[in-house]
Amino acid sequence: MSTTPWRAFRAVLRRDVGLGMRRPDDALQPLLFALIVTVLFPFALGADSARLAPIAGGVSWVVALLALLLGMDTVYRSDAEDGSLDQLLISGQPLAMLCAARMLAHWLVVGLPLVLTTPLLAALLGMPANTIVVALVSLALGTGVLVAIGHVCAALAVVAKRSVILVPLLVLPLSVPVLIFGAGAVQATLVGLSATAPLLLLGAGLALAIPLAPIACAAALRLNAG
Amino acid sequence: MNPWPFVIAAYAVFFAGLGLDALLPWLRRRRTLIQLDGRRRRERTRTNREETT
Amino acid sequence: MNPLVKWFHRFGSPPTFYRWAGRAQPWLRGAALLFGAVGLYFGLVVAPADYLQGESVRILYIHVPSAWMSLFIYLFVAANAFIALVWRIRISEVLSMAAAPVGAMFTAVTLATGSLWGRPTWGTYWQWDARLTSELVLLFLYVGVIALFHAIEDRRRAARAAGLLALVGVVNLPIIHYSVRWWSTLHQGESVKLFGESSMHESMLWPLLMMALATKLWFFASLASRAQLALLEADSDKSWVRDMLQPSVTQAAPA
Repeated sequence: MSTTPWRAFRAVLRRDVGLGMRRPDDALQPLLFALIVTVLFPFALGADSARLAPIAGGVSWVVALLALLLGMDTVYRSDAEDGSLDQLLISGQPLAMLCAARMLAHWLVVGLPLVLTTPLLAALLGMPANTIVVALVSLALGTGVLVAIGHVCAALAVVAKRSVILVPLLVLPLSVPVLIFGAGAVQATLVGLSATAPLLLLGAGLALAIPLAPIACAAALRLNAG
Repeated sequence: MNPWPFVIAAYAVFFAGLGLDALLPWLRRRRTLIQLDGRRRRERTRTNREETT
Repeated sequence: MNPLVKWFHRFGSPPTFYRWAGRAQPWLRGAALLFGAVGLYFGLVVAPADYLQGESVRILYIHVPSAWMSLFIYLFVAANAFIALVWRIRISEVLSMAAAPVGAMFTAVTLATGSLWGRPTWGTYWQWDARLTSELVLLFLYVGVIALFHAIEDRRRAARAAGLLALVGVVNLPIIHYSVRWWSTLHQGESVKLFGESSMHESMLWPLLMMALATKLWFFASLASRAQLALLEADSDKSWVRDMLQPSVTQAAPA
């Protein structure tokens, strides 16, 4: 049966999202981590909300980044180890489409829930309501880019020795701009300035990541598995 | 503030960096050559032993 | 085959490159030390102290060349990674991975000398200004490339994966730099610049350029030595290594 790339995309998307829903661990663990780490800050800095509110934006962003990194290094590893990666390589489908599908699935299963719990976490830290809206938008855009970066780095390290720190190390410098503009948008709103510029830049980043990241990811997989 | 301790420290760091950059490969190269030499010696002994038996 | 690609293949043949690198290395090192000595003499002894900063400006002659090298070497790594990935030229794989640790060293030196320069100038050992922060991110990029290269067993695959990472990094470098610049202007407006709008006096410029040349020559010398070592280790069981290490032909047991 001939499959168009689009049909292959939908197949991978459906499979990965289905897997994610059947094993809710993948989504719940990062959420739990985000909650736990967020709660650490008042314990560490004191209950004074005047001290927490100014840093709430930055903390939310760092927490989201770390939570996303949690499950990142294994996204392609099991496929590499059981041989299904080789199957994908010879399947004749453009690998980039499959990577794109996997990135979208990962964002839907892990990233989106994280974004949706942001209002709760931000409120815990005393973020005012209008800032929470900007935080939501910035995270919605930013988590997309971060998932893309994470997948590229996971694909680069797919045959590397198992290491807790390797993929986060690779992701970190590449995610600095996302963090700067994302947290910067929230910070700007907090001091009464416009968040338009950083949000637009985040959007531009996402627009670039959508076509480019799957290509880089596929190149990395082909290089490592071929 | 007297700047000289900082200037000296900075130059020390610079030369230390260059020194390590030259030293570490040199040490490793010596180790590799010794290893290869040892391997070659063992092979030659084995070849000689095979031929005399 | 494209003549340039053919030249790369011929020049990059391990025994050819090994011999050439071995011969070039002492000259490159010697030239680096010579230019370095002359540059430092003019910078430390002849050139005057800065009008505003005093003697601490002497750190300029090692901080700025190190910063230039940290960036130049990263571009070198990326360029060779590109050649290695597109044309599968093995010597480029070796060169890119051999250059990375040298680049990381220069980046670390840039940060340390920048910090030491900052203390008498700004009053603090660390200031989150745009340039130093960018340099810090660059250090992480280097560490990532080196870590990935060492984490994969197959050396050639490792070099190509780490090379692809370096390429992803080099594409992101302008984005990172711009975002860090934007970020640094959010706080306290303009940060104190290490060198203001005043163009550099030529008594300072010439030693600086000479140090820049010296560090570049040092890099190429170091690169030659490290690339030789990499080829030696990778091809340790090949005949060219055997022949080179023992010029006399292995005899059978003497009669």
